[in-house]
Amino acid sequence: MVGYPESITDPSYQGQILVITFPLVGNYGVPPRDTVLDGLPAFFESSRIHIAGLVVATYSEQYSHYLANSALGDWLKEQGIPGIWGVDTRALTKRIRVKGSMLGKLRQQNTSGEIGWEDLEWQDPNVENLVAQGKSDPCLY
Amino acid sequence: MADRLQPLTTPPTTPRTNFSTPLSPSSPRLYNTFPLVPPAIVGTHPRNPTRHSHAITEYPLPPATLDLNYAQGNQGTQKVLLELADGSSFTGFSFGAQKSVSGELVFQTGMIFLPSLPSEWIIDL
Repeated sequence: MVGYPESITDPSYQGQILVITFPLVGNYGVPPRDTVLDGLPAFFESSRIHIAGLVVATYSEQYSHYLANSALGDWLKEQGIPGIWGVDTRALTKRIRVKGSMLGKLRQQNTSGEIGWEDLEWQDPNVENLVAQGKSDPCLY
Repeated sequence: MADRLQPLTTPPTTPRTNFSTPLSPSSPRLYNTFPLVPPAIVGTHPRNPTRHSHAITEYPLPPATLDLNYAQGNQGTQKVLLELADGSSFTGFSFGAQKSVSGELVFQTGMIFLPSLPSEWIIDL
C-alpha cells in the first residue's frame, strides 16, 4: 500500500489511466525529484511518471509534508500528464469492477473555440509492445 | 469562506433524462454537471440480479468532499471529459497537463497511504 507519488511512477502502470478511490489526493504534495539514493530516485519507483492520466475525487492544491516541495498538479504539468478531479471515483470503480477491464479517454475542451471536446482514437496498452518502448540499453547499478 | 459553506443546490431526486437540451444559464444547477451523459444500464450480476442494479443505474452524484463552489470559482479551471468504452462519461476539472490521452482504466482502492519514509528515518524520529 503506497501513496500517489509511488503509484504514478510505477512502471507497471505504463499507458494506463489510474483511478484513485481514496477521496483526497495531493494534500501531501510531492517530494523532491532530484534526490538520489544509491543511483536511484529516493522517493519514487522510477525516474518519471508512467501513468497516462490520473483520475481523482478531490484534488488538494494546498499541500503540507516535511518532504514536499511542489504540488502534484505542477509535477503532472511538468511531465505532460493530464489529471482530472471532481469525478465520483468510487462509482467509476464499481462500474469497472462489474464490466471488467475497460478502456478510457481523457478529453480536453476544444481550444479552437467551438464547444465540445477533443477526440482521439482508443488506445489499448495491452496490444502494444511496451517493452520496445522502454530503455534499449541495459543499465548496471 | 462563509460563501463556500452555504449549502449547494439540492441534488435532483430523479435522473435527468433529456440531455440534448442544455440547461438554462439563468438557473445554474451545479449537480447537473455530473455526468455529461447518463450512465447506461450495464447489466446485472450473473448470480444475483438485484445485487448491482442499484449501484449501476443510480445517478452518480459528485463525491461528498467536492466543493463545487470552490471548483467553479477557481480561475483558470478547465473541464475535462472522462469517456469510458461502455459509452458513459464523467466530467471533472483539469489539474494536470492540458492534453487528451486514451488508455486503459485501472483503479487503486488503497485507503492507507504511506508517504515515502525510509525505515531508518522512523527510528530517528
